[in-house]
Amino acid sequence: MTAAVFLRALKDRWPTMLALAVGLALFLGMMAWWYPEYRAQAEISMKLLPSFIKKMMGARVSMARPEGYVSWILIHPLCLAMLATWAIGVPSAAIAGAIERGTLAFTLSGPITRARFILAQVGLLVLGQAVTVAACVGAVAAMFAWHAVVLPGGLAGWLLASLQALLLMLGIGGVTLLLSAAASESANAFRPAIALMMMALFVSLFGDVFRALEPLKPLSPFSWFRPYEPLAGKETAWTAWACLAGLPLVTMLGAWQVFARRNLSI
Amino acid sequence: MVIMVTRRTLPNACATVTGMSGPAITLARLTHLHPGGKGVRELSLEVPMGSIFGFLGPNGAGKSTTIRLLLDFLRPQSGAASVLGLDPWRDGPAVRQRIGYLPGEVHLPENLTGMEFLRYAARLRGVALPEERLRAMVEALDANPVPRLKTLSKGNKQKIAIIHALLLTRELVILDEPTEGLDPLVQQAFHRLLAQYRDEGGTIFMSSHVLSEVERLCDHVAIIRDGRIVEVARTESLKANKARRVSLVLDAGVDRETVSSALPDVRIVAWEGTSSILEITGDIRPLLGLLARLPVRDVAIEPASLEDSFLEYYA
Repeated sequence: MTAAVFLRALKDRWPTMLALAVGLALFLGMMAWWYPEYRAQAEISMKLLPSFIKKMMGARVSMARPEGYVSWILIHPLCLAMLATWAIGVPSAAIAGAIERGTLAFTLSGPITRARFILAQVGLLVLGQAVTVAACVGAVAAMFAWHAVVLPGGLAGWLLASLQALLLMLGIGGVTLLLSAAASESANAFRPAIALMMMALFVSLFGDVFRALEPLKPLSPFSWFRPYEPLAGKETAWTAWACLAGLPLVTMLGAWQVFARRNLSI
Repeated sequence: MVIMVTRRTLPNACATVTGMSGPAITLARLTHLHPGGKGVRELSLEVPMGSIFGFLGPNGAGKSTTIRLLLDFLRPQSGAASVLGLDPWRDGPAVRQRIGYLPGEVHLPENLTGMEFLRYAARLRGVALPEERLRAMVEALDANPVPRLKTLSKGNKQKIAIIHALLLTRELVILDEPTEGLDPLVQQAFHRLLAQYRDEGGTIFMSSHVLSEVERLCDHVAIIRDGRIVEVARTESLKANKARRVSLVLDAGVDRETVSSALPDVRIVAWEGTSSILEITGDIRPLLGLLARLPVRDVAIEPASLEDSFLEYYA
């Protein structure tokens, strides 16, 4: 039953997944292609930047370093928008969108529990996000290999950086799924999800610039997203892993509980 | 407002599951109120196995709420229920495995064809699509499951939804306003399918606004008003208690007193010269005896209808 719902949803969404994966691979591949040229001019360009941007960009790791550059392009607005299209679009359409379209009644009138229904949606979310993240990181790694840019973390570094990106996006997806489980219109899920994501990104980026925002930084999953560490061969603190993994876990369990308990006027 | 959940288990409403003779559906003091106060209150009902059960009531009376409770879309605030001998909330998937459902508003996955949708429904139930039965239903309803559902008219989507409800289960089907959007010819074919489903041992629980349809099809009827059941009866007995209207034309005028004294149970609705309209409840033989003695030119006796019963509760 779970497999039937999962496969049905995958059949509906695979063209979107493929388009996002190709788009991300092209965009990040292009960004990585330019890295050697950027590195050559990085010192000069950093001097030209306003001080608050320098503070933001240099707070954790320099963008001139390959691991810093990879970390930055992974949260480039275009990359983030494409990754979030899956993380926010799929969960908001899965429950609230299905209620809005009126199709949930047919699925749930079959012998499937709400827990299994949620599980199928989580499966689709994880699969699509894994494919899109793999397309991102794979394209960057391929271009770096082409330019013979070697990262100290090696293959393990790339894999751990990918895992961090996957967990970050699953966290956003989990929040959206939770909102979707409680809503009856997809807009009531994706709008607050986008707002929360933007706020979290803002807090994480500007927390290094504005002291007032600094106490809020631990609340943002972007603050725990540190792909430059494994790429540089350094260990990421377990607290960062716990926060990155905890958000999707807690929100998905929450979505299951909310959806299982709610009354559905479908 | 905080409502205490006081659900209880029905004491073996149905002893056996397959081939049982107990009720297909039992509701015992079932209550579910929406935030606005609408919903169902203390609903008690038994739907006999192997019957076509009509569930009547105007919009907002609680018909769809009852159906949603049976399908575990809504949870009761109090009361109990049994569907095919099982608890529809605790044993939800097992119950839904054995029932077909047609929602009041049909919204099918638009990007699928009718066949893809029916195959998906079969996969969801873990059963093979009964091709022979499907072919018969497609033929009976003149449905077309080949094009994408988004290209079909409302009536043709309704046909696919009806096939979906009746195709995969043989025990119980729940229909919410099933003939909305169907033309009269297809309605007749649909009625024949329902009769066949019942004749094969299945139970049909249907809500409807179309009183003539319920009257023609249903063995039993329940009338719901403001979330409460106000009448449950066999359709025939409900009609038998209602007055029949008699239109009478005589060759010569007759004294009104002659009729009223001879038939004390008859109500004279109109009496003008040689034409009169009477209403009679119960045994019609005394009226026929009187008519035999009168100079009758024409007489028309309208049968009692379910509409009369329905309107009695709502007028």
